[in-house]
Amino acid sequence: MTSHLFSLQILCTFPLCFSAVLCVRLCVLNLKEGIIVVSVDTEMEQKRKIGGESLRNRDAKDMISELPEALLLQILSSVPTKDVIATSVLSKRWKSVWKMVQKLKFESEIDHVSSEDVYRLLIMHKAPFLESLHLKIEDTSGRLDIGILIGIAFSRHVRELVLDLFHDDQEKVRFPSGLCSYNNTLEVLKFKYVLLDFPSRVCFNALRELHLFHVVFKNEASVCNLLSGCPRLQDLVVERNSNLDVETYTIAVPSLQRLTIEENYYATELSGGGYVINAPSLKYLNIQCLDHIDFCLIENAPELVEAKILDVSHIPNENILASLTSAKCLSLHLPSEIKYPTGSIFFQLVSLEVYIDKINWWNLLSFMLDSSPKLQILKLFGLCREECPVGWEWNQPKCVPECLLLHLETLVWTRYVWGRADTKQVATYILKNARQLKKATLSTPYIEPKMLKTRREMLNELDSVVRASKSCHLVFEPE
Amino acid sequence: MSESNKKISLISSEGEAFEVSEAVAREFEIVAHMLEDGCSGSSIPITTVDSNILGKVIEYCTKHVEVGNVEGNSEKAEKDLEEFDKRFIAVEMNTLFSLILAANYLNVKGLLNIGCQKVADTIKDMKPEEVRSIFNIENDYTPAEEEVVRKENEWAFQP
Repeated sequence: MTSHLFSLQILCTFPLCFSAVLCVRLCVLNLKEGIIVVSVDTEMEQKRKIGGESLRNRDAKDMISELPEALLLQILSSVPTKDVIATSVLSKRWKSVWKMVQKLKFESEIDHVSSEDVYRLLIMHKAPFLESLHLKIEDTSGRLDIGILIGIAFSRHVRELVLDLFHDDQEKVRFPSGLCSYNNTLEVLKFKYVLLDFPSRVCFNALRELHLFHVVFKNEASVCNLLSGCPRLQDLVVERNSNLDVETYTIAVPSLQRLTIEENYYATELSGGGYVINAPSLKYLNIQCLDHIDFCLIENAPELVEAKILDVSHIPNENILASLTSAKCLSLHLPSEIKYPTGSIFFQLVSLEVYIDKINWWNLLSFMLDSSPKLQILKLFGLCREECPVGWEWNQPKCVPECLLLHLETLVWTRYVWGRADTKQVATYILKNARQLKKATLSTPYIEPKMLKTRREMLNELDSVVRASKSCHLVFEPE
Repeated sequence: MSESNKKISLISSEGEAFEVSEAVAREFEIVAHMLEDGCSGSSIPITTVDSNILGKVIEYCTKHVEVGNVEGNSEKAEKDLEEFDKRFIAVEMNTLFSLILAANYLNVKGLLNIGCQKVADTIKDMKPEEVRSIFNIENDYTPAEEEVVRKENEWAFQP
């Protein structure tokens, strides 16, 4: 049997190998009459056909049509919806297979699909459950039918809904909030460029993941009515390009575990407002580019594991550090006017990443070293300023911090400016005092070739510092 | 002998025995369940899969177990595995479908996924005529019937 199978394979693959060499391909075009036509393929066509195509011939079986329906549906769930529906014409076996595929994606600009087409196809579609529906409708008239389309999707118990109504210079289209009074199946919901007006509390009992990408809320109450109606929400992503709709953005979600907030817009005279975050189950927090707000209050986050607070350099965010004390892993790029919470200890903190481009940053580093007794990994990101500005001097801690004595194993300093007195003092201090240090990696920015010698001397000097840890490996890397 | 060194024989439909470690055999979820259900025999018949395909499935699982056991540098390992998968699944159609059916029967999820993805990638952006030709699907519609189906789903056939 093996040998028979083997010979069949050779039979099938031989013409392909042959064609690859000579660029001549044997095609059996007419299956019934078995007429053999020799054709010369262009190179492009060759490339397109490569990928396992067996030549159609008498012996080759139609294996795909014989697959169990569940496997066919699994295959089709990774095929673009337009191609899935086009399979209806392959043969009678395929006429209705597409109607059971549970993932559908319609994009009006790419697929040239109108909302009427989508409506008709959804009506014909027969799967009792929709795993995923992705609707991107950009034409003006189609956006008016959104309510009907979402209604059908909800009646099919859709689990993941992505609604993207991007349009230039158009007022945003309102999501049909009347449909949100009770839904037990929706688990993932992603809104893009939609107007959200929720006059009363929604009820998305199963919702785990919510993305709010450039949406406009009618008012602050709409934010609360949406978020408070998602009792199982774990993952929230908020990306905003304006804060004109909501001044105080309140995120009070007891079940929330992951939160990302990112803003990307230029400051206007109307900048202001901010965030109030009350998420007692929060484990992962990622805040980026909040440059134009007045406050960001994190009220209660005892379960925090990892927090990244990046590019929030211009807000009076003074209390933020006190909210992060339970984190195991921190990345900080903070404003210089930060308040150091006296008495707060980062008992869990193992890995710390700090961006050092503000006056007072050494104070932040000293404070964090003093307050993080279990710190093992320290990563510093420098700025390429050759001179030490006035007021940036380093004052070493009065006592050697506990983490240096007992735990710090790894130091990674990116953009280590070798010529500055303050950076040298800090590096020397860590090398001299970190008893458990295993590896210190300093990468230096590009410099003029004529300065190479000076740099080598400076780095040699650092290399000769007597290290507290005998096994410490010091590595210099060009950036 | 520690449990991880235990050998198990998988018997193909032709009766050929393939000796593998228990860790590799457990990648076949169907085998893992048999072992958990207290099936202690050291040889397990896989009656619906022939030697050629069984050998390939074992090759796939062995690679994935090996890479899974290596610690550190996970990014590189993941990339290597991706490359391996890509090469592994670049086979002619009959073998591809035999692999999909075997992966489905033996419940090897990773292999089933890459197999289905490979078929999906082949269907993608192809005209129905091309799909028929690639997979040897015989069109049993009359021209009139075909016209009705095309009309019904008109949007899907527009360029």
